[in-house]
Amino acid sequence: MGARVFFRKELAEIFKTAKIYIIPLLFLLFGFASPVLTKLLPDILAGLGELEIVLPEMSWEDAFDQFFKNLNQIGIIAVILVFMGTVAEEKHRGTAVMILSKPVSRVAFVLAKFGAAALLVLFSLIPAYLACFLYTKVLFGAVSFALSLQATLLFAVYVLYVLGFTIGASAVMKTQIAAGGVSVGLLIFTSLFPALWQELAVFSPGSLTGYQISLLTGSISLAEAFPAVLSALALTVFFLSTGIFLFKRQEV
Amino acid sequence: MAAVEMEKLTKKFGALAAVNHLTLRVPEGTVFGFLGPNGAGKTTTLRILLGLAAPTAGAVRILGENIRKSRGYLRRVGFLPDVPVFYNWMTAREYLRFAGELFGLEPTRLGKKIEELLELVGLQKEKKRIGGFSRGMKQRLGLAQALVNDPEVVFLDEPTSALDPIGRKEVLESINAFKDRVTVFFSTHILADVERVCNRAAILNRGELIIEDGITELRQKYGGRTMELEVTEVPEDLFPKLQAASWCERLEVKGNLLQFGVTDGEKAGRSLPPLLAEAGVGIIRLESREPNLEEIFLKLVKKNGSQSFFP
Repeated sequence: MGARVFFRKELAEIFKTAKIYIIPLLFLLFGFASPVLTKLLPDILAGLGELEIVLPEMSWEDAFDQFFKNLNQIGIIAVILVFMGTVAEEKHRGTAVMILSKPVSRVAFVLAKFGAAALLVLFSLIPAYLACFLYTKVLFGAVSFALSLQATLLFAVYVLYVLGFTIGASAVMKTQIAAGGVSVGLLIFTSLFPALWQELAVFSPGSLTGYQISLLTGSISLAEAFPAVLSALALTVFFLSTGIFLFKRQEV
Repeated sequence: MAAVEMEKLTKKFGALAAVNHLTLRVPEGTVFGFLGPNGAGKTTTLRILLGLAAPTAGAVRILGENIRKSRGYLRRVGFLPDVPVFYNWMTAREYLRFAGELFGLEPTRLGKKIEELLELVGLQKEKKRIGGFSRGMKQRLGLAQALVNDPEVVFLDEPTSALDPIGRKEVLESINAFKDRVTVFFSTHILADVERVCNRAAILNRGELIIEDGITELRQKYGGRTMELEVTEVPEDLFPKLQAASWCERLEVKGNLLQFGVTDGEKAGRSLPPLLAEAGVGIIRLESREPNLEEIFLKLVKKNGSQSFFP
């Protein structure tokens, strides 16, 4: 009962605060801008003047490549910034005391927040993907629906993994700055892991960003990304469980 | 059955015992003042009672339930923290609905309850978001949310200490309006508030219980009487003479007004007039009155070696 009510409150909060604008609009901007900028890039470079840069002809893969680069860099940082305070701020401000002194468990408290955040991020991805697909289709002609969708699903798994450790860190740390610091640290570690331990790269969530591009170009199949997908989902559960485990031992 | 029972409750932070072997029984239906200077361990005790902190040792039963075994008792209690913090984007009605839903209250019943509570705390006409509320309004909304589930015990942590006199009066009036229906556990360091609303009190100092009794009994047992004596003048030797008297305690001089506690009324009655005559002092007014809780409190806390300042 408490979890469902708290989840509804989280959704209402998203709609009544700036959270409803930041992630959806940013993702949508990437959806629109990535194909347009990719298309215009040769003209922009040509307009720079004396410097002659010869670029291969841009394709729909380049447009989606740009889309995923934006999502994996600025998009992921925005997700961390928006959700790093989701539990920590409630603890810091004192709103958590008002809730946890009622029949609401800490498990429900954290999972409701993760559920609402995941819903926002995944629903933000749908219009962004559609915008990118349509603009790419108009500007470049051919575009593979199946491959672009599969790559987007890999990003969805990756962003859930990021949300898992961000909300886990937020449950453990006392302030949102500390939770953000831990989350950025984990993000950097995730990104470096495939290069540092190449033999384990196939199981690394950090490989998912590269797989998105490889899927588009057909250099890997979706099945080859499964070990990384499964480990990302398992680590999402691990980070959330650890966050809840430590949060339950904290005094609020 | 006791509403709240604590048995050797202890909470340590490193070497410091914030609550030290606290054994206390709060009978059902009482308005129980939980008194102590700042840092006495009141808030720590309340946080343990509400499951927000774990005790180092000891046992607590609330409404017969062992709080370490189950959180079920939270359905039957209400809590107002010292500084209640809300979601600023909600209105008072939205917050009360949200709080009621967390208890699983049925929507129609909850709707009626919300209107009742808003009327009780004087916020029924308030439409703006909580972000625009004054501190007093937030405190009153805090009281309302603590009552939304019709609790059997309501815990109030310093509900008036951060308020101006008007806000304080409003909150105390609200407490007076519901105190007959529920056991109230009222933590505070403002003694006048306890005198206004409580019928029983415990005094805590440095994490330890000093005394626990009915307010009337506390006055009888620990008060003695307090005298106010207005005189024509206060010669230099009067103060030491009075201070030396065996029946006189807590002597204070404010201009021509002498105020002191009397431990033995009969002896004071016999000794005071010749003492004043000998000093050549005329009496303008002599008044004997019941001690207030503040005087009892200061007496008990000082006896226990507190260095705390009390307003």
